[in-house]
Amino acid sequence: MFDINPFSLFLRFLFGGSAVLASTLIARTFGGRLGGIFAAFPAVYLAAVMGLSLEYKGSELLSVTEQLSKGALVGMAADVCCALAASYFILRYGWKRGLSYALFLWAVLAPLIYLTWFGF
Amino acid sequence: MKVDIRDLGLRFIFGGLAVAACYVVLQFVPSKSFAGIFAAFPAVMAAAVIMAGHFGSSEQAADIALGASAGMLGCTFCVLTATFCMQHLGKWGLSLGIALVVWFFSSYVAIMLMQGLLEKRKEKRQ
Repeated sequence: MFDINPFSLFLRFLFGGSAVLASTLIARTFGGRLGGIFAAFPAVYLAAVMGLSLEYKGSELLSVTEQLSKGALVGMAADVCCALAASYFILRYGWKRGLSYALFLWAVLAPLIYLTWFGF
Repeated sequence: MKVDIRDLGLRFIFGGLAVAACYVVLQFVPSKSFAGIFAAFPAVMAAAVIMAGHFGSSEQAADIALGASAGMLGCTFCVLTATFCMQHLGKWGLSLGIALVVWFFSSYVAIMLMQGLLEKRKEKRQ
């Protein structure tokens, strides 16, 4: 259970990066409001879920995806707070410090919401 | 369409790292749902803010962050739908398909609302 396969890890890195890249290129192609929607395509989430299908099948895949989605839901809730905080912090402290504070807030908030919601 | 290699490279690295981190946590932490947190890492927003801040101004970066919150609301509905459908329909592919349709429409509504807010903020600044 604890062995990390370097090839699987690399495959996921490629998969996640490509998914984000593809959504960015689609967003740029469309432009305007439609492009804006695709700029926020849940590429990382979908790449992570697709990655699960490499290892799990059938009802096990369904169960693991459901569990992963619960965590992602918590992460998304933290994302909304992080983005609003980033907008506020960047105007106040500049983009470097503002983004760092917002990402730090995400890193604290996501596990905190998770533990409050689902317990240990 | 303007393609900036640095912007795309940054997005590729952030997106790849988030999915790889998700896989590593999935192997080390018994709770699979905890790993899911990394599937929601704001990779695209971080890359977009860095690019806007570096090549533009902090105000542009702040506007991008505010705009991104609309997309994230859509993504939240997408994951919520995926979780709900998997519990009730028991079909993996169909659940993801329905979740993507919900993502598209909820993102559209959220972006329409957020654009109004962004324009008001820009007017105030001027």
